[in-house]
Amino acid sequence: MERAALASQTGRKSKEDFFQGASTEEVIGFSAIWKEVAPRSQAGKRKKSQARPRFPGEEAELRDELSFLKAVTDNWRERPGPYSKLLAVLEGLKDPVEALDRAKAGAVLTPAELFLIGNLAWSSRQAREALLETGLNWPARFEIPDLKTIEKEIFPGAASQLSFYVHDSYSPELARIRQERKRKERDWRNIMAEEASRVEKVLGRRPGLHEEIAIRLTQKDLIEKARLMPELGETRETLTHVHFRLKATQEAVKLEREIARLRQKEAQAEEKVRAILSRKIAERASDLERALHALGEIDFLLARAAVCMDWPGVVPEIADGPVPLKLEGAWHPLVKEEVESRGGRFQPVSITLTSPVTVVTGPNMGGKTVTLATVGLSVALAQWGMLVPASEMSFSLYDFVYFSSQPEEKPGLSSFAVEIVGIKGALARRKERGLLLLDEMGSGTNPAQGLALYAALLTYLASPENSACRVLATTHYGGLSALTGADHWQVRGLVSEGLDLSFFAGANGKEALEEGMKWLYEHMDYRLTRVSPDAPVPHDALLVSRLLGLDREIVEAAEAIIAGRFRRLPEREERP
Amino acid sequence: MDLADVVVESGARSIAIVGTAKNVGKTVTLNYLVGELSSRGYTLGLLSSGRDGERVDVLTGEPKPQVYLPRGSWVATAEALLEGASISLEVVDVWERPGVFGRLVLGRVVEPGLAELMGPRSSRQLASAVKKFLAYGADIVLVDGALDRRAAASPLVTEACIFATGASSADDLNSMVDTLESLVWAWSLPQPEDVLVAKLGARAIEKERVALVKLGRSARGEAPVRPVLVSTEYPTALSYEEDIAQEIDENTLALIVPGSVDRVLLQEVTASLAHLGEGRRRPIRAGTDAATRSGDRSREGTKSGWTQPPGTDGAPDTPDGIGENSLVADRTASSARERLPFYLVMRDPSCAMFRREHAVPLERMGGQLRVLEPGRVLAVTINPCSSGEMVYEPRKLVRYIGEKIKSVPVFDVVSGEWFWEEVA
Repeated sequence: MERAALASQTGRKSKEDFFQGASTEEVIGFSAIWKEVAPRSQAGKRKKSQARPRFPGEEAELRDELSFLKAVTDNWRERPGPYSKLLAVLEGLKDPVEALDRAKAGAVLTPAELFLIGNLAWSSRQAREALLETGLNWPARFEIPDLKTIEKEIFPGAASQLSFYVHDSYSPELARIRQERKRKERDWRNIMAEEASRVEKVLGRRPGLHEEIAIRLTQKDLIEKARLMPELGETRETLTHVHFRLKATQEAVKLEREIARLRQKEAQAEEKVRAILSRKIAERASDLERALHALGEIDFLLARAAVCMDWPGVVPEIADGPVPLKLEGAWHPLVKEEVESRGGRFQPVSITLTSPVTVVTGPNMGGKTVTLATVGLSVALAQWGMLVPASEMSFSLYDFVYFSSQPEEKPGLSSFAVEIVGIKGALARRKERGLLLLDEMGSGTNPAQGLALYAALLTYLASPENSACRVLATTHYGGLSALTGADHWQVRGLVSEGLDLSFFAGANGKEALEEGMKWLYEHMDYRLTRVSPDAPVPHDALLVSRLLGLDREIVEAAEAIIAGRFRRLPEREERP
Repeated sequence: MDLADVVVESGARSIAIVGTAKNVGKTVTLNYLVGELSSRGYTLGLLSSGRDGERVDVLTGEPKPQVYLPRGSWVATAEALLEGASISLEVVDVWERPGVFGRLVLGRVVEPGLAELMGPRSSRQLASAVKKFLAYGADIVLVDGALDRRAAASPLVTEACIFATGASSADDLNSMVDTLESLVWAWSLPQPEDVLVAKLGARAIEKERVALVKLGRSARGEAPVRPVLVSTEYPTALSYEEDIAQEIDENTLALIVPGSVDRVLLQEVTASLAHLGEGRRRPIRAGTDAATRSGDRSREGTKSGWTQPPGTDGAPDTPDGIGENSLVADRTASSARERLPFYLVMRDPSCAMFRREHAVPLERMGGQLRVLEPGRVLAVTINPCSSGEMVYEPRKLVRYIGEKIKSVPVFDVVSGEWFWEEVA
């Protein structure tokens, strides 16, 4: 409540405000789909972590974003070439943020850091070219500044392979020092090689790695000879060997000193080059940062597009003022995938929420919960800048989405308590434009009290004076819609007339479950139709029990009870 | 014969040099190969497997040994290690890497010299760095198997490996030889002979679930024929050893384990096989061994002694109930084979976290260890010198170890001594 209050004060909501309740994001399947949005670069990942949904008042921005996303998915399908190139560039894009910050602070960048900046400049040029090739008109936030000049500064060689080394070409002074150093090193090597040849003549062996030579203790004469040679110095003795090392002559020692001095000068000259480059980078820092941001935006956009292209989705129609939420042929990608993986066919959801409260009734396994999740997911995806897996959708933006689900593993009082605490949190925001998805609330407690509570809650929420929320509620209770004056939609359910159910009679155990479920999936009509508020709830529970192989005697007794009860009960209670 | 010849003739493009302990001359071996191979004109790729920590050896207080990086070779090292180093690199890639040494720099050596190698931490990244060096143009990539020696020598990272061992690796020479024997044995484990087991095993490893390959039964209750993969919920065997071993039944052909396999799992699996050998399943709770009624009788006639040999009269005497009884009877009656083989399948030899001798009881029970990705050992190098007191005569040590580790040549690269007893 505090957060909501704060949000309305500042006028800008944070992403945490969108999903009301701890499990909403998870239960409607948004988390799992959002996880599939996988930018390739660190810059893209940062953009994703900063992403927030669009809230009421941001309709125009969202419309632009979504229609551009749609344009990109269409363009990608038509011309995959530039997109493959973009993805490859993003895959190879490094994270130069720290290096850029250091350059801005006046530090001299290391060769590795200069490589990172060069990588950014190089990636920017490649991406710019690819964006041009798409032929699309990319909005400003995707615009990459031209960094060709900086790229040339850092990589003057313009080699085919991206690499950084402080080449001689950066500085004539550096080139001169290096040349001199290399000459002295050559002289030094020649002197040492002459010494080594003299050693070889006497001992029959040449010193190896690190100018070392090891002689076995048993070769006493060789050891004596070695000890007498001015070219060798004894370094250590083990139980098996005596080790000698080539001694540098005076001339060689002098050269070593000079080489060391030149190396120092060389390092200084190199640092000077790196300092100049770092300064140039600092001067262009804002362009480099802009390029990195744009590349991050592109990465994040393509990551979203790739997920949407799998569905493929539509751009929803977004109204400025409040309009009924209308979904045509919507599907839940995760549920669809699961249904199809077991060889089934997912039946799309179509529903319109015209009044403040809409009630959905239907049989067990009739897809009521899937309907709720699909509605919630569609809204969430749209507001988070994704295309919607549906053939058509129109709605106005919501401040939040809430899903009250049945905590499956905690039956009894605790699950009821979870429900109550959850709805209490949502009710605290009832004056905002929220979408409340209620899944068989109160079914974990006493049926009469549960029904009463559910009915009272819906009645309360149906009044515009109490709440600005839209409610979609599922139930097993017949008459809830009539009690509350809510719109009533019903899953068509099982069409059992004219079907031969006898073959299930003999089936038992696991086989009955498998065959029964298969039959159910095949004969369940998941489509929703709008019915009158007092339309009765079909007695599919008994049919399902029979299908799943429950003892025929029990099922028939249950049918008799219902029939008897209906005979005894007055009309009013049967159809409240 | 020379170690470099062995490397060149092997045709392996990537080789891990792995020390069996600290101060066993691993870097001496590496430097020797770098010198020999680069003087023969090979362009090298050089990196180490994720080392981190102090710049000075914790035990000896000496600086960490450096490797000579020849001009033109492709190397990986840390940004921090390059500062003030005599070598210089043309940077071709920079990888983010957690740890005190900062980013990992991949490059080509412009100024040769001595430097410390570095590498990525995960074996997946290590494998990708090796591949990258080969793509850049390295002829042979040498991976210094630093602290994480097993990761470097995994066949998923390098094609072959060289084990470096030395006198200082153990106070007792025999224990050093034991360690070496265990490693060479693990790296010589074959793939499962059964192609289907290998295929199903690969699927289980990919799914990262401990799984069993069982002979499936069709719905109509025919005799078990078709091997099927039965996944458990365990991503690793560690700390679930007993539960996993209890899943093994009469129709289990193989146990597939992604990740490490340790001694505890071997013991548990051996116990399960022993119970099956007595013609019954292992009781669900350990410690209820009182019901060992059928005893040794069912072991007659089989070496493995874990299934009922055909020809023994009637069904085995099982205290666990008719269901189990009929399963065994079915299998023995219908199967053409005398007994099912049992494979314990690991991803690769680097997953074997036990000594050779710990596998012996399992093998006695008819179990066989297999790997999906087999290793390859090119050679063993020994370091006869030590900072401690124990120093061996190189020729004798090379021969001593060579005779123990048959089929793999043994070298002392310092003295040039070598020994190789080829076995047919």
